[in-house]
Amino acid sequence: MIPAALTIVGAVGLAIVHFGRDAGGDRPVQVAQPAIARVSPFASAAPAGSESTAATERTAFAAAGHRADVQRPAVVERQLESDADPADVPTAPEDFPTYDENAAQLSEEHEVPAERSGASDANARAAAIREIDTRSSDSFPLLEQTLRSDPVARNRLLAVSSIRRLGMRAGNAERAREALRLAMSDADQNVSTNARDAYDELAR
Amino acid sequence: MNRYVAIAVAAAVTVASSATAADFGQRHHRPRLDFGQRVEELTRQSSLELFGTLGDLDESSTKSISAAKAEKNPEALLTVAPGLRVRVLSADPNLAPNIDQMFLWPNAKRPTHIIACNEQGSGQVAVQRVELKSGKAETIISSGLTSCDPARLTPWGTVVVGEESGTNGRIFEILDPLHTSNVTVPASGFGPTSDPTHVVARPALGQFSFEGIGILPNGVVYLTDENRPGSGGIGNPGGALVKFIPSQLWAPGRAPIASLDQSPWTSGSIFGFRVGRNGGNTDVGQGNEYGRGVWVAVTGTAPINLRAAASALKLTAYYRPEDMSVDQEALADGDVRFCGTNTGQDTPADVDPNGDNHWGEVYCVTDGTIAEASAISVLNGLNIASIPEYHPLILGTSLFGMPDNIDIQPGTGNFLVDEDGEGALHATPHNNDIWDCLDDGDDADTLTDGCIRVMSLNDLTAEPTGGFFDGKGEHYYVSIQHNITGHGLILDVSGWR
Repeated sequence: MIPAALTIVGAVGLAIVHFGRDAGGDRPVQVAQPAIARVSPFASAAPAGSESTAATERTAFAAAGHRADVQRPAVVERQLESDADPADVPTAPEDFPTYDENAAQLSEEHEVPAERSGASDANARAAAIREIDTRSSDSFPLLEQTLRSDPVARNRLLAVSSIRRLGMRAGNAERAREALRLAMSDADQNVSTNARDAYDELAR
Repeated sequence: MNRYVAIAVAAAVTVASSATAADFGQRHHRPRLDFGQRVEELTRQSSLELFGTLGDLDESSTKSISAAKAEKNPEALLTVAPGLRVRVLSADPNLAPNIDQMFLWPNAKRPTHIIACNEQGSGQVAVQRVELKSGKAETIISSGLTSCDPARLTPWGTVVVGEESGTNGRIFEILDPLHTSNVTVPASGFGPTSDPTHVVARPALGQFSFEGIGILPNGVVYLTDENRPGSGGIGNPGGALVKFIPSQLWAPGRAPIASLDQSPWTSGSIFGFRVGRNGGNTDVGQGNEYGRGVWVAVTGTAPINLRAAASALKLTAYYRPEDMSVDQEALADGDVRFCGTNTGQDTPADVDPNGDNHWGEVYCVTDGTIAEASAISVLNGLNIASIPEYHPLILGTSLFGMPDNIDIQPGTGNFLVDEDGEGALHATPHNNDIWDCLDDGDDADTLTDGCIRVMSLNDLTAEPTGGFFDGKGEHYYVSIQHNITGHGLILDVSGWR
């Protein structure tokens, strides 16, 4: 009884909602709002020429060295001067950290994407399989080893996929089919199904 | 009319059956839901009203279809919520396998192509164009660019792409992408490309692992560094957020530039985001990652090593910042707000006993009005023209972890978030999902008002990447990156009501 009543109420309610929206010709629009009221540094304006303005400095910090002397694009003027109330301005201590580009040194680890620099062992093995050369029969041993011993089903799936591609190249089909035949008995259903489909493809 | 009645009845049945389980569970001897679960259930029941779908997906798919099946029916690689539809936009054998961020060209309203990054090594294809009508993929940058990840259309009609390549990462700008093909760029440094008229590097924007990129109509751009904490040494910070303000701002609405020399990104100033204003801006460091902060001037000779600068200047760091989306509704009101993802690290403990169970987050940053955000007013090494403020919007969970790509749906303001999680490594492997989330409403907290799972892959070897909407919010294009077929696949999901 209760579900039936809910069905009727729900149908009427949702129909009203839907038709109401449709009649408006548009979907309800959720107006994005800043999470918390913003405090503007311009709230307490100091007159031009005041201390805060005088303290303002402006530098082109990262001017590129190769700029051609060409016609500039259409631009708009930007407000360059601060009229913030000094009381509202954070004042950094004299010993606040600075950046010295001549002294900066980072390890080589920072030269590679984050996926590679801190990948788990399982993901590192996956990356190695993804990058394997699927044109060379030399790749078979790693893939067969993966099928036999990698505990992560995703990695065995990757191995099946690579073996399938290897098997499509001349001279590789027999070895690929043998590897896939073994994988068809994998405990993981996704791996076994993928292996069976690939085996069937190569058997044609 | 019949269509609407059918929708209403279908939704009502869904509501009624769900309500039976949720609210009257005891009567039917089902476990009673706690209050939080009831809120979640209410969100799911309200999918049509809140998200425009006829339901959601109960759980992540555990299927991983074979390459043969995926070749025959590429749509089968993605399960979608009731009411949504999937079609193949491109499964071109020439489409690169690791397509990541992408956008519509020449604009989101009347597009003819998708321009996309391919995230592979410097020896592989980096940037491609895909014709919407045919799905045909052609190469714009063929080699030299490492791990192309961010890709955007600039307000002045060029393409910008970036390398997610540590401190070697560079930003490139491309002119006329439909008539620029097979360009090679230097594997490192800022030397000329094989076609310097159409492809140039931008040293003014510095170097780090470029990932999130949010461009304002006047050319001011926010950038994030996909860096993990502890990289290169225990205690090292994660990825920072910086803002680049061009020396000359772009005037929105003007005609596209005809030469790359006219780009606003030839020179400018960089400022880094640092949370903490209390005590003269001294409460900076670990433990202070949310709330109001300052923009710290980053000085040096272009190209500045932004990661080194971030460390030296104690910029606030997050766990692998990823994609970013600018809030167009806020822009229309003259304000700056953008939201992005920090992916975290959720390798399950049964695979790696040192897994963090850090499921990542979605955050939003406000930066005052457009005028304030674009101004430069430096005092004591800080740009005081605007006050940036950072708050989390979505905190990850074991079910919704490692968020990567993000886009705000035009018309609804809802967030679509692509997972790049480690579900495939769990004891019961499951796929990556795509979640549909509400923005924060008028309630007291600053967090999303709810999320539902709307898509799930059927390929445990793949991840959804680069998901984004067309200008009307009707079509969601998503790449199924490194999928089982070995070639690229872009799907077009539609059907939101």
